[in-house]
Amino acid sequence: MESVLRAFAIYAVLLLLFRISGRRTLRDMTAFDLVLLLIISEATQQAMIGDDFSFTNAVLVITTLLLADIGLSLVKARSPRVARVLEGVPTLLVAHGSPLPGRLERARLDEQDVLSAARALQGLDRMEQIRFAVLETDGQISIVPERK
Amino acid sequence: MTSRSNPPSSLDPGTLPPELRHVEALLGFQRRSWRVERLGWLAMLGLVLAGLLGAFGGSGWLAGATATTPDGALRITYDRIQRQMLPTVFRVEALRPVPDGRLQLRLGDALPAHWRVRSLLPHPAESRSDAGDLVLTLQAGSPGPLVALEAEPEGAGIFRLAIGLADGPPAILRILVWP
Repeated sequence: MESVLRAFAIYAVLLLLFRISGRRTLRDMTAFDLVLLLIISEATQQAMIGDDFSFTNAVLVITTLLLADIGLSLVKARSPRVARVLEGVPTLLVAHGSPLPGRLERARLDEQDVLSAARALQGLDRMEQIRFAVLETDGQISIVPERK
Repeated sequence: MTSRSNPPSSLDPGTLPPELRHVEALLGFQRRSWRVERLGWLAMLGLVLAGLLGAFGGSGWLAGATATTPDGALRITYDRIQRQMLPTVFRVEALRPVPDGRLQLRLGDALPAHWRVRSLLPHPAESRSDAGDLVLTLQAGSPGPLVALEAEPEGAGIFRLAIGLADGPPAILRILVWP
C-alpha cells in the first residue's frame, strides 16, 4: 500500500513544483538542465521505492504513476478549467513586431529568447519580421512571421 | 538587432486575428498564474530555509533536543524531528554514579513499536521485555555516556517516547517523524 501512496504523493508534488517553477523550467535542456533532471529523477526514485527493490514494487510504482497520468489527462479533457490551472495558457509575447516587455519579464524571458526561437523556427533575425510570438503551454515559443 | 521603440503597454485585441484574440482573452488568468507562481517561489524558499534549520529533521538547529528525567538521573540527546527510515541516534547519559555499577534502563513501548533498532552500544548485559517496554541492564561505573542507540523510524507521525531508569520516572520525548 505504501508504494502506491508514495508514488501518488511524488506525482502530485512533482506536478505542483514544476507548475510553480514555470513552464520554461528545464525547457531548454542544456547540459546542466539534463544533469539537473537526472538528479531530480534519482532523488524521486529513492523516495518512491525506499529500500524495496523488488520487481513487484517496481511494477506497482510504475503502474500507479501511469494511472495517475491517465487519470489527470481524463480530468483535463473533461474540464478546461482544470487544464488551464495545471498546464497554464498560451501568452502573447510579441505583437506586430513589438515585444511586450511586462509579459516577457514575468515569463522570465527576454527578446533574445524570442529572436532565438524566430531564428530556429522561421529563419528570422529581426523583431520587425515577427508578427506574433506566443509562449505555448509546453514552454515553446511559436512564431508567426510578418506578412511580406 | 531588436526593436524596443515604443513598447506597447497594452494591446488592442481588435488588431489580433481571431485565434490570438482567444489567447489574449486568457491574459487575466495568466497574470493570476504568475502571481501564484511568485508566491510558490516564496513557499519553495521557505521550505529550503526550514530544511536548513532542521524543521524536516536530518540534523539542523531545530532538530536536535535534550531531555532529562524528572529525577535528574539521565540525560537523553536525540532528534525531536526525524524522517521515516532515516537512522537517528539516541544518546543516553548517566548524570550520577550508580551504586552497584549496574543500571537498568527502561525504553518505552513506542520505541520497539515504531523504530527499528539498528545498533546498541555498549551491548547490554541483559535485555528483556516488560509490559511492552524494553529493559536493558548495563554496566555503568561512573557518570558519563552510557548508551548510544541507533534506530530508524518505521512510520511517520508524532510519537511520545519514554526513556528512564527502570525504577525511576521517565523523560518523555516528543518526536515528530516526517514521511
